Amino acid sequence: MEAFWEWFRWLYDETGINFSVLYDPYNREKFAAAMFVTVQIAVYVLFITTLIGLFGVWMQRSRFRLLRWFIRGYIELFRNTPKLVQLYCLYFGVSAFLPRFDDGTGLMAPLIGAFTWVILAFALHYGAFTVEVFRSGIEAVPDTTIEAARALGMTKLQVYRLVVLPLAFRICLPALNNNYVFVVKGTSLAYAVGINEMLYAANQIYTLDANVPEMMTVLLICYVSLVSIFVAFMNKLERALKMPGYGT
Amino acid sequence: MFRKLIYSSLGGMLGLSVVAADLITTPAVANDGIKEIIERGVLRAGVRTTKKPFGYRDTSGNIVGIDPDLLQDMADRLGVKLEKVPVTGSNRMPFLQQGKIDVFSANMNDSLKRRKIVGALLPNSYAVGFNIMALKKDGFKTWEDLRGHTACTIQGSWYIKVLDQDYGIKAMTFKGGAEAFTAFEQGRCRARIGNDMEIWFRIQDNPERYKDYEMPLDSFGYSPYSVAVPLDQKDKALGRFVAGVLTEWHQTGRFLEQWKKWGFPPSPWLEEMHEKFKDPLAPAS
Repeated sequence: MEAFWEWFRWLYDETGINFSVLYDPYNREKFAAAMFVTVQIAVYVLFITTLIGLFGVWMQRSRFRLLRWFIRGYIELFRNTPKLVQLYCLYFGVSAFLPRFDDGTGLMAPLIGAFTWVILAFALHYGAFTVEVFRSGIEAVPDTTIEAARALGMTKLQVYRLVVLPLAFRICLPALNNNYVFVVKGTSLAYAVGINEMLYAANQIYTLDANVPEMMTVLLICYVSLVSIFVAFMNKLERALKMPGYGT
Repeated sequence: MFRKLIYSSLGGMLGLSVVAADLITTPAVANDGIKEIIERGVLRAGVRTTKKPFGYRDTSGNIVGIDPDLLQDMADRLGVKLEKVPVTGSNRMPFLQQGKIDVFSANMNDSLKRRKIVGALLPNSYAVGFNIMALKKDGFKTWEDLRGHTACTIQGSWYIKVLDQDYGIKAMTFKGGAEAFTAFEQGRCRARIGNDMEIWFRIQDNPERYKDYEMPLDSFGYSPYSVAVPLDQKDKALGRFVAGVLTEWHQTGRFLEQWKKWGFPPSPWLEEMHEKFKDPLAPAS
Protein backbone atom coordinates (compact mmCIF):
# COMPACT_ATOMS: atom_id res chain seq x y z
CA MET A 1 0.00 0.00 0.00
CA GLU A 2 2.82 2.33 0.96
CA ALA A 3 4.38 1.83 -2.47
CA PHE A 4 1.07 2.81 -4.05
CA TRP A 5 0.97 6.10 -2.14
CA GLU A 6 4.64 6.74 -2.87
CA TRP A 7 4.00 6.35 -6.58
CA PHE A 8 2.00 9.56 -6.41
CA ARG A 9 4.93 11.37 -4.79
CA TRP A 10 7.06 10.16 -7.69
CA LEU A 11 4.36 11.37 -10.09
CA TYR A 12 4.52 14.82 -8.50
CA ASP A 13 8.32 14.96 -8.61
CA GLU A 14 8.38 13.83 -12.23
CA THR A 15 5.39 15.58 -13.77
CA GLY A 16 4.22 18.22 -11.29
CA ILE A 17 0.80 16.55 -11.02
CA ASN A 18 0.24 16.93 -7.31
CA PHE A 19 -2.10 14.41 -5.68
CA SER A 20 -0.86 15.42 -2.23
CA VAL A 21 -4.08 13.99 -0.77
CA LEU A 22 -2.72 10.52 -1.56
CA TYR A 23 0.98 10.65 -0.65
CA ASP A 24 0.86 13.06 2.31
CA PRO A 25 -0.34 11.07 5.36
CA TYR A 26 -1.73 14.20 7.07
CA ASN A 27 -3.88 15.10 4.06
CA ARG A 28 -4.85 11.49 3.51
CA GLU A 29 -6.17 11.07 7.03
CA LYS A 30 -8.05 14.38 6.91
CA PHE A 31 -9.67 13.48 3.62
CA ALA A 32 -10.59 9.97 4.72
CA ALA A 33 -12.19 11.36 7.88
CA ALA A 34 -14.06 13.88 5.76
CA MET A 35 -15.33 11.14 3.47
CA PHE A 36 -16.72 9.33 6.48
CA VAL A 37 -18.47 12.50 7.65
CA THR A 38 -20.03 12.92 4.21
CA VAL A 39 -21.42 9.39 4.35
CA GLN A 40 -22.64 9.98 7.90
CA ILE A 41 -24.51 13.14 6.96
CA ALA A 42 -26.02 11.41 3.92
CA VAL A 43 -27.26 8.44 5.95
CA TYR A 44 -28.83 10.55 8.69
CA VAL A 45 -30.46 12.90 6.23
CA LEU A 46 -31.81 10.06 4.08
CA PHE A 47 -33.37 8.42 7.11
CA ILE A 48 -34.97 11.56 8.57
CA THR A 49 -36.10 12.79 5.15
CA THR A 50 -37.95 9.53 4.60
CA LEU A 51 -39.65 9.80 7.99
CA ILE A 52 -40.66 13.39 7.24
CA GLY A 53 -41.99 12.24 3.88
CA LEU A 54 -44.13 9.48 5.41
CA PHE A 55 -45.53 11.63 8.22
CA GLY A 56 -45.96 14.57 5.89
CA VAL A 57 -48.00 12.69 3.38
CA TRP A 58 -50.14 11.27 6.16
CA MET A 59 -50.77 14.76 7.51
CA GLN A 60 -51.46 16.04 4.03
CA ARG A 61 -54.31 13.55 3.67
CA SER A 62 -55.58 14.04 7.21
CA ARG A 63 -59.18 15.02 7.97
CA PHE A 64 -57.97 17.91 10.14
CA ARG A 65 -57.67 21.10 8.23
CA LEU A 66 -55.04 22.47 10.62
CA LEU A 67 -52.66 19.60 9.94
CA ARG A 68 -53.13 19.98 6.21
CA TRP A 69 -52.38 23.69 6.42
CA PHE A 70 -49.36 23.07 8.53
CA ILE A 71 -47.84 20.64 6.08
CA ARG A 72 -48.73 22.90 3.12
CA GLY A 73 -46.93 25.77 4.83
CA TYR A 74 -43.92 23.61 5.61
CA ILE A 75 -43.59 22.46 2.02
CA GLU A 76 -43.95 25.97 0.61
CA LEU A 77 -41.37 27.36 3.03
CA PHE A 78 -38.72 24.71 2.61
CA ARG A 79 -39.19 23.93 -1.06
CA ASN A 80 -39.13 27.53 -2.17
CA THR A 81 -36.06 28.82 -0.35
CA PRO A 82 -32.42 28.01 -1.10
CA LYS A 83 -30.81 25.34 1.01
CA LEU A 84 -27.82 27.50 1.97
CA VAL A 85 -30.15 30.26 3.19
CA GLN A 86 -32.05 27.74 5.31
CA LEU A 87 -28.85 26.39 6.77
CA TYR A 88 -27.54 29.88 7.62
CA CYS A 89 -30.94 30.87 9.02
CA LEU A 90 -30.95 27.93 11.39
CA TYR A 91 -27.25 27.92 12.23
CA PHE A 92 -26.73 31.66 12.76
CA GLY A 93 -30.30 32.91 13.19
CA VAL A 94 -32.47 30.48 15.13
CA SER A 95 -29.47 29.25 17.10
CA ALA A 96 -28.90 32.73 18.54
CA PHE A 97 -32.26 32.53 20.34
CA LEU A 98 -31.65 29.15 21.91
CA PRO A 99 -30.09 28.76 25.33
CA ARG A 100 -26.38 28.02 25.70
CA PHE A 101 -24.70 25.65 28.09
CA ASP A 102 -21.27 24.93 29.46
CA ASP A 103 -19.71 22.22 27.31
CA GLY A 104 -17.50 20.99 30.13
CA THR A 105 -14.41 22.95 29.13
CA GLY A 106 -15.82 26.30 30.20
CA LEU A 107 -17.05 27.25 26.73
CA MET A 108 -20.65 28.46 26.66
CA ALA A 109 -21.59 26.43 23.63
CA PRO A 110 -24.85 26.64 21.70
CA LEU A 111 -27.48 24.01 22.47
CA ILE A 112 -27.38 22.56 18.97
CA GLY A 113 -24.08 21.93 17.26
CA ALA A 114 -23.19 22.51 13.63
CA PHE A 115 -23.50 18.84 12.71
CA THR A 116 -27.04 18.59 14.11
CA TRP A 117 -28.08 21.78 12.36
CA VAL A 118 -26.78 20.47 9.06
CA ILE A 119 -28.74 17.23 9.45
CA LEU A 120 -31.87 19.14 10.48
CA ALA A 121 -31.61 21.76 7.73
CA PHE A 122 -30.96 19.22 4.97
CA ALA A 123 -33.60 16.79 6.25
CA LEU A 124 -36.22 19.56 6.38
CA HIS A 125 -35.25 20.81 2.92
CA TYR A 126 -35.33 17.44 1.18
CA GLY A 127 -38.24 16.30 3.39
CA ALA A 128 -40.45 18.88 1.66
CA PHE A 129 -39.65 17.27 -1.69
CA THR A 130 -40.09 13.77 -0.32
CA VAL A 131 -43.62 14.54 0.89
CA GLU A 132 -44.53 15.57 -2.63
CA VAL A 133 -42.89 12.47 -4.08
CA PHE A 134 -44.86 10.22 -1.77
CA ARG A 135 -48.04 12.13 -2.57
CA SER A 136 -47.49 11.53 -6.27
CA GLY A 137 -47.22 7.81 -5.52
CA ILE A 138 -50.31 7.64 -3.35
CA GLU A 139 -52.42 9.62 -5.78
CA ALA A 140 -51.45 7.22 -8.53
CA VAL A 141 -53.03 4.28 -6.73
CA PRO A 142 -56.39 3.83 -8.48
CA ASP A 143 -59.52 4.52 -6.39
CA THR A 144 -60.97 1.26 -7.69
CA THR A 145 -58.17 -0.69 -6.02
CA ILE A 146 -58.85 1.00 -2.69
CA GLU A 147 -62.59 0.42 -3.04
CA ALA A 148 -61.96 -3.24 -3.83
CA ALA A 149 -59.82 -3.60 -0.71
CA ARG A 150 -62.46 -1.88 1.41
CA ALA A 151 -65.10 -4.19 -0.10
CA LEU A 152 -63.03 -7.16 1.07
CA GLY A 153 -63.56 -5.91 4.63
CA MET A 154 -60.20 -4.30 5.31
CA THR A 155 -60.11 -1.42 7.75
CA LYS A 156 -58.92 1.99 6.59
CA LEU A 157 -55.55 1.49 8.28
CA GLN A 158 -55.16 -1.96 6.77
CA VAL A 159 -55.90 -0.59 3.32
CA TYR A 160 -53.32 2.13 3.82
CA ARG A 161 -50.68 -0.19 5.22
CA LEU A 162 -51.19 -3.27 3.06
CA VAL A 163 -52.45 -1.88 -0.23
CA VAL A 164 -51.88 1.81 -0.74
CA LEU A 165 -48.39 2.25 0.72
CA PRO A 166 -46.73 -0.77 -0.92
CA LEU A 167 -48.19 0.22 -4.28
CA ALA A 168 -47.40 3.90 -3.86
CA PHE A 169 -43.86 3.16 -2.78
CA ARG A 170 -43.18 1.17 -5.93
CA ILE A 171 -44.72 3.81 -8.11
CA CYS A 172 -42.73 6.68 -6.68
CA LEU A 173 -39.45 4.81 -6.35
CA PRO A 174 -37.78 6.37 -9.43
CA ALA A 175 -38.70 9.87 -8.29
CA LEU A 176 -37.58 8.99 -4.78
CA ASN A 177 -34.21 7.78 -6.08
CA ASN A 178 -33.78 11.08 -7.82
CA ASN A 179 -34.47 12.90 -4.60
CA TYR A 180 -32.08 10.69 -2.66
CA VAL A 181 -29.26 11.32 -5.12
CA PHE A 182 -29.75 15.02 -4.47
CA VAL A 183 -29.45 14.31 -0.75
CA VAL A 184 -26.11 12.53 -1.14
CA LYS A 185 -24.67 15.18 -3.45
CA GLY A 186 -26.09 18.02 -1.39
CA THR A 187 -24.02 17.12 1.67
CA SER A 188 -21.21 19.24 0.21
CA LEU A 189 -23.02 22.39 1.34
CA ALA A 190 -22.19 21.51 4.96
CA TYR A 191 -18.79 23.06 4.37
CA ALA A 192 -20.44 26.48 4.72
CA VAL A 193 -20.81 26.00 8.47
CA GLY A 194 -17.42 24.41 9.06
CA ILE A 195 -18.34 20.74 8.88
CA ASN A 196 -15.32 18.68 7.93
CA GLU A 197 -16.81 16.95 4.90
CA MET A 198 -15.14 16.22 1.54
CA LEU A 199 -15.38 19.65 -0.10
CA TYR A 200 -14.18 21.29 3.13
CA ALA A 201 -11.18 18.99 3.42
CA ALA A 202 -10.38 19.45 -0.27
CA ASN A 203 -10.49 23.22 0.17
CA GLN A 204 -8.03 22.98 3.07
CA ILE A 205 -5.67 20.86 0.99
CA TYR A 206 -5.71 22.85 -2.23
CA THR A 207 -5.23 26.12 -0.37
CA LEU A 208 -1.91 24.95 1.00
CA ASP A 209 -0.69 22.84 -1.88
CA ALA A 210 -2.08 24.99 -4.71
CA ASN A 211 -3.36 21.90 -6.54
CA VAL A 212 -6.96 22.89 -7.30
CA PRO A 213 -7.30 20.91 -10.56
CA GLU A 214 -6.02 17.70 -8.92
CA MET A 215 -8.24 18.09 -5.86
CA MET A 216 -11.28 18.84 -8.01
CA THR A 217 -10.60 15.65 -9.93
CA VAL A 218 -10.36 13.71 -6.68
CA LEU A 219 -13.63 15.27 -5.46
CA LEU A 220 -15.38 14.45 -8.70
CA ILE A 221 -14.27 10.83 -8.58
CA CYS A 222 -15.27 10.52 -4.91
CA TYR A 223 -18.76 11.92 -5.42
CA VAL A 224 -19.36 9.87 -8.56
CA SER A 225 -18.28 6.70 -6.73
CA LEU A 226 -20.34 7.49 -3.67
CA VAL A 227 -23.49 8.26 -5.65
CA SER A 228 -22.91 5.28 -7.97
CA ILE A 229 -22.74 2.86 -5.06
CA PHE A 230 -25.90 4.33 -3.66
CA VAL A 231 -27.73 4.29 -7.00
CA ALA A 232 -26.66 0.69 -7.61
CA PHE A 233 -28.21 -0.25 -4.29
CA MET A 234 -31.43 1.63 -5.06
CA ASN A 235 -31.66 0.06 -8.53
CA LYS A 236 -31.38 -3.34 -6.94
CA LEU A 237 -34.20 -2.42 -4.60
CA GLU A 238 -36.24 -1.18 -7.52
CA ARG A 239 -35.79 -4.48 -9.36
CA ALA A 240 -36.53 -6.55 -6.26
CA LEU A 241 -39.78 -4.67 -5.68
CA LYS A 242 -40.83 -4.76 -9.33
CA MET A 243 -44.54 -5.32 -9.78
CA PRO A 244 -45.38 -7.86 -12.45
CA GLY A 245 -47.40 -6.22 -15.16
CA TYR A 246 -46.92 -2.65 -13.96
CA GLY A 247 -45.45 -0.23 -16.40
CA THR A 248 -45.17 -2.68 -19.26
CA MET B 1 30.04 82.77 -50.17
CA PHE B 2 28.29 79.83 -51.83
CA ARG B 3 30.73 77.43 -50.24
CA LYS B 4 30.09 79.03 -46.87
CA LEU B 5 26.39 78.54 -47.32
CA ILE B 6 26.86 74.87 -48.12
CA TYR B 7 29.16 74.41 -45.18
CA SER B 8 26.84 76.10 -42.74
CA SER B 9 23.78 74.22 -43.95
CA LEU B 10 25.76 71.00 -43.81
CA GLY B 11 26.82 71.90 -40.28
CA GLY B 12 23.21 72.68 -39.43
CA MET B 13 22.05 69.36 -40.82
CA LEU B 14 24.76 67.60 -38.93
CA GLY B 15 23.76 69.34 -35.75
CA LEU B 16 20.08 68.52 -36.35
CA SER B 17 20.84 64.92 -37.03
CA VAL B 18 22.88 64.69 -33.87
CA VAL B 19 19.92 66.10 -31.93
CA ALA B 20 17.56 63.69 -33.68
CA ALA B 21 19.83 60.74 -33.00
CA ASP B 22 20.02 61.87 -29.45
CA LEU B 23 16.23 61.98 -29.19
CA ILE B 24 15.89 58.51 -30.62
CA THR B 25 18.65 56.67 -28.84
CA THR B 26 18.76 58.33 -25.43
CA PRO B 27 17.69 55.68 -22.96
CA ALA B 28 15.24 56.74 -20.29
CA VAL B 29 17.68 58.55 -18.03
CA ALA B 30 18.05 57.15 -14.57
CA ASN B 31 16.07 59.96 -13.02
CA ASP B 32 13.25 60.39 -15.53
CA GLY B 33 10.57 59.26 -13.10
CA ILE B 34 11.64 61.61 -10.38
CA LYS B 35 12.29 64.40 -12.89
CA GLU B 36 8.76 64.14 -14.20
CA ILE B 37 7.35 64.40 -10.68
CA ILE B 38 9.41 67.45 -9.87
CA GLU B 39 8.53 69.16 -13.16
CA ARG B 40 4.88 68.37 -12.62
CA GLY B 41 5.12 69.60 -9.03
CA VAL B 42 2.81 66.81 -7.91
CA LEU B 43 3.44 63.32 -6.54
CA ARG B 44 0.52 61.14 -7.58
CA ALA B 45 0.25 58.47 -4.93
CA GLY B 46 -2.17 55.54 -4.66
CA VAL B 47 -3.75 55.04 -1.24
CA ARG B 48 -6.54 52.90 0.14
CA THR B 49 -9.66 54.55 1.48
CA THR B 50 -11.22 51.66 3.40
CA LYS B 51 -8.29 50.27 5.36
CA LYS B 52 -8.33 51.95 8.71
CA PRO B 53 -5.77 52.99 9.95
CA PHE B 54 -3.54 52.50 6.89
CA GLY B 55 -5.60 54.62 4.58
CA TYR B 56 -9.22 55.65 5.11
CA ARG B 57 -11.59 58.60 4.90
CA ASP B 58 -12.12 60.54 8.09
CA THR B 59 -15.50 62.03 8.98
CA SER B 60 -14.93 65.03 6.71
CA GLY B 61 -14.00 62.83 3.76
CA ASN B 62 -10.24 63.42 3.76
CA ILE B 63 -8.03 60.42 3.14
CA VAL B 64 -5.88 59.97 6.22
CA GLY B 65 -3.84 57.25 7.88
CA ILE B 66 -0.37 55.80 8.03
CA ASP B 67 0.03 55.48 4.24
CA PRO B 68 -0.95 59.12 3.52
CA ASP B 69 1.44 60.29 6.27
CA LEU B 70 4.29 58.30 4.74
CA LEU B 71 3.55 59.55 1.23
CA GLN B 72 3.20 63.14 2.45
CA ASP B 73 6.70 62.88 3.87
CA MET B 74 7.99 61.75 0.47
CA ALA B 75 6.24 64.62 -1.31
CA ASP B 76 7.61 67.14 1.21
CA ARG B 77 11.14 65.93 0.64
CA LEU B 78 10.74 66.23 -3.13
CA GLY B 79 9.29 69.68 -2.61
CA VAL B 80 6.09 68.83 -4.48
CA LYS B 81 2.43 68.56 -3.61
CA LEU B 82 0.86 65.22 -2.80
CA GLU B 83 -2.12 64.05 -4.81
CA LYS B 84 -3.83 61.11 -3.09
CA VAL B 85 -5.39 58.82 -5.67
CA PRO B 86 -7.86 56.32 -4.18
CA VAL B 87 -7.01 52.78 -5.29
CA THR B 88 -8.42 49.35 -4.51
CA GLY B 89 -6.75 45.99 -4.10
CA SER B 90 -7.46 45.13 -7.72
CA ASN B 91 -6.56 48.35 -9.53
CA ARG B 92 -3.46 49.54 -7.67
CA MET B 93 -1.03 47.52 -9.79
CA PRO B 94 -2.66 48.38 -13.16
CA PHE B 95 -2.64 52.08 -12.17
CA LEU B 96 1.12 51.93 -11.67
CA GLN B 97 1.64 50.07 -14.94
CA GLN B 98 -0.49 52.58 -16.85
CA GLY B 99 1.37 55.51 -15.33
CA LYS B 100 -1.73 56.90 -13.60
CA ILE B 101 0.21 57.05 -10.33
CA ASP B 102 3.91 57.35 -9.48
CA VAL B 103 3.91 55.32 -6.31
CA PHE B 104 1.49 53.54 -3.99
CA SER B 105 1.46 52.60 -0.36
CA ALA B 106 -1.78 50.70 -0.37
CA ASN B 107 -1.75 47.82 2.07
CA MET B 108 -0.25 45.40 -0.44
CA ASN B 109 1.20 42.09 0.72
CA ASP B 110 4.68 41.63 -0.67
CA SER B 111 5.11 38.56 -2.87
CA LEU B 112 7.50 37.29 -5.51
CA LYS B 113 4.65 37.16 -8.01
CA ARG B 114 3.80 40.81 -7.44
CA ARG B 115 7.44 41.84 -7.68
CA LYS B 116 7.32 40.73 -11.33
CA ILE B 117 4.53 43.21 -12.00
CA VAL B 118 5.41 46.27 -9.95
CA GLY B 119 8.56 47.63 -8.37
CA ALA B 120 7.80 46.55 -4.80
CA LEU B 121 10.51 48.07 -2.66
CA LEU B 122 12.60 46.90 0.24
CA PRO B 123 12.59 47.49 3.12
CA ASN B 124 8.96 46.46 3.57
CA SER B 125 6.88 49.18 5.14
CA TYR B 126 5.01 47.30 7.85
CA ALA B 127 3.64 43.84 8.51
CA VAL B 128 0.45 42.24 9.72
CA GLY B 129 0.43 39.05 11.73
CA PHE B 130 -2.14 36.64 13.08
CA ASN B 131 -3.60 36.64 16.54
CA ILE B 132 -6.77 35.55 18.30
CA MET B 133 -9.81 37.16 19.78
CA ALA B 134 -10.83 35.35 22.94
CA LEU B 135 -12.85 35.84 26.09
CA LYS B 136 -10.86 37.56 28.84
CA LYS B 137 -12.05 34.99 31.34
CA ASP B 138 -10.38 32.18 29.35
CA GLY B 139 -7.04 33.82 30.11
CA PHE B 140 -5.10 32.48 27.12
CA LYS B 141 -1.47 33.61 27.27
CA THR B 142 0.32 31.49 24.67
CA TRP B 143 -0.65 29.52 21.59
CA GLU B 144 0.05 26.40 23.62
CA ASP B 145 -2.90 27.28 25.91
CA LEU B 146 -5.23 26.69 22.97
CA ARG B 147 -4.22 23.04 22.57
CA GLY B 148 -7.22 20.83 21.89
CA HIS B 149 -9.60 23.76 21.50
CA THR B 150 -11.54 24.76 18.42
CA ALA B 151 -10.90 28.09 16.72
CA CYS B 152 -13.00 29.84 14.09
CA THR B 153 -11.33 31.25 11.02
CA ILE B 154 -11.71 31.81 7.29
CA GLN B 155 -11.65 28.99 4.75
CA GLY B 156 -8.32 28.42 3.11
CA SER B 157 -6.14 30.21 5.66
CA TRP B 158 -2.59 28.94 5.29
CA TYR B 159 -1.92 28.61 9.03
CA ILE B 160 -4.66 26.05 9.71
CA LYS B 161 -2.38 23.07 9.12
CA VAL B 162 0.50 24.63 11.07
CA LEU B 163 -1.68 25.34 14.10
CA ASP B 164 -3.14 21.84 13.98
CA GLN B 165 0.24 20.14 13.75
CA ASP B 166 2.14 22.40 16.19
CA TYR B 167 -0.51 23.15 18.79
CA GLY B 168 -3.37 20.74 18.10
CA ILE B 169 -5.75 23.64 17.49
CA LYS B 170 -8.81 22.50 15.58
CA ALA B 171 -9.99 24.97 12.98
CA MET B 172 -13.65 25.54 12.18
CA THR B 173 -13.69 27.56 9.00
CA PHE B 174 -16.21 29.78 7.27
CA LYS B 175 -16.65 31.53 3.96
CA GLY B 176 -16.06 35.03 5.28
CA GLY B 177 -14.84 37.00 8.27
CA ALA B 178 -18.33 38.01 9.42
CA GLU B 179 -19.52 34.40 9.63
CA ALA B 180 -16.38 33.41 11.51
CA PHE B 181 -16.85 36.23 14.04
CA THR B 182 -20.54 35.38 14.48
CA ALA B 183 -19.84 31.70 15.03
CA PHE B 184 -17.18 32.62 17.57
CA GLU B 185 -19.44 35.04 19.44
CA GLN B 186 -22.18 32.41 19.48
CA GLY B 187 -19.84 30.08 21.30
CA ARG B 188 -19.06 27.60 18.53
CA CYS B 189 -15.34 27.94 19.10
CA ARG B 190 -12.93 29.10 21.75
CA ALA B 191 -11.14 31.74 19.73
CA ARG B 192 -11.34 33.60 16.46
CA ILE B 193 -8.02 33.48 14.64
CA GLY B 194 -7.42 36.36 12.28
CA ASN B 195 -5.41 39.30 11.07
CA ASP B 196 -4.24 41.15 14.22
CA MET B 197 -5.13 44.62 12.89
CA GLU B 198 -8.65 43.50 12.06
CA ILE B 199 -9.20 41.97 15.48
CA TRP B 200 -7.65 44.96 17.22
CA PHE B 201 -9.90 47.45 15.44
CA ARG B 202 -12.97 45.33 15.95
CA ILE B 203 -12.41 45.45 19.70
CA GLN B 204 -11.47 49.18 19.67
CA ASP B 205 -14.40 50.25 17.52
CA ASN B 206 -17.04 48.32 19.49
CA PRO B 207 -15.92 48.66 23.11
CA GLU B 208 -19.37 47.88 24.50
CA ARG B 209 -19.91 44.74 22.44
CA TYR B 210 -16.42 43.40 23.03
CA LYS B 211 -15.83 44.47 26.62
CA ASP B 212 -15.30 40.85 27.69
CA TYR B 213 -12.93 40.06 24.83
CA GLU B 214 -9.22 40.56 24.28
CA MET B 215 -6.37 39.90 21.83
CA PRO B 216 -4.00 38.21 24.26
CA LEU B 217 -1.25 36.45 22.30
CA ASP B 218 1.93 37.42 20.46
CA SER B 219 1.14 37.61 16.77
CA PHE B 220 2.82 35.12 14.49
CA GLY B 221 3.32 34.60 10.77
CA TYR B 222 3.95 38.24 9.87
CA SER B 223 3.37 39.00 6.23
CA PRO B 224 5.21 42.16 5.18
CA TYR B 225 3.59 44.89 3.11
CA SER B 226 5.24 46.81 0.29
CA VAL B 227 5.35 50.30 -1.11
CA ALA B 228 5.70 50.14 -4.89
CA VAL B 229 6.81 52.25 -7.84
CA PRO B 230 6.57 51.28 -11.53
CA LEU B 231 8.77 48.26 -12.25
CA ASP B 232 11.18 50.18 -14.53
CA GLN B 233 11.67 52.81 -11.82
CA LYS B 234 12.56 50.34 -9.12
CA ASP B 235 16.32 50.63 -9.47
CA LYS B 236 16.37 54.22 -10.68
CA ALA B 237 16.29 57.44 -8.74
CA LEU B 238 12.58 57.25 -7.86
CA GLY B 239 12.82 53.72 -6.51
CA ARG B 240 15.98 54.44 -4.56
CA PHE B 241 14.48 57.64 -3.15
CA VAL B 242 11.32 55.87 -1.92
CA ALA B 243 13.37 53.01 -0.48
CA GLY B 244 15.51 55.60 1.27
CA VAL B 245 12.50 57.22 2.93
CA LEU B 246 11.24 53.77 4.01
CA THR B 247 14.64 52.95 5.50
CA GLU B 248 14.66 56.23 7.37
CA TRP B 249 11.18 55.63 8.76
CA HIS B 250 12.43 52.35 10.22
CA GLN B 251 15.71 53.84 11.39
CA THR B 252 14.24 56.83 13.17
CA GLY B 253 11.33 54.84 14.54
CA ARG B 254 8.61 56.77 12.70
CA PHE B 255 6.71 53.55 11.94
CA LEU B 256 6.85 52.68 15.63
CA GLU B 257 5.55 56.19 16.43
CA GLN B 258 2.65 55.65 14.04
CA TRP B 259 1.84 52.37 15.80
CA LYS B 260 1.80 54.20 19.10
CA LYS B 261 -0.27 57.03 17.68
CA TRP B 262 -2.98 54.58 16.59
CA GLY B 263 -2.88 52.78 19.89
CA PHE B 264 -1.80 49.44 18.47
CA PRO B 265 -0.13 46.85 20.65
CA PRO B 266 3.64 46.86 20.05
CA SER B 267 4.70 45.12 16.85
CA PRO B 268 7.71 42.79 17.29
CA TRP B 269 8.22 42.95 13.53
CA LEU B 270 8.59 46.75 13.51
CA GLU B 271 10.84 46.67 16.55
CA GLU B 272 13.09 44.18 14.81
CA MET B 273 13.27 46.40 11.72
CA HIS B 274 14.06 49.42 13.89
CA GLU B 275 16.86 47.45 15.52
CA LYS B 276 18.20 46.33 12.14
CA PHE B 277 18.46 49.83 10.67
CA LYS B 278 19.67 51.51 13.82
CA ASP B 279 22.51 54.00 13.45
CA PRO B 280 25.53 52.26 15.05
CA LEU B 281 27.09 55.62 15.96
CA ALA B 282 23.99 57.12 17.51
CA PRO B 283 24.44 57.94 21.17
CA ALA B 284 22.58 55.41 23.30
CA SER B 285 19.32 56.84 24.45
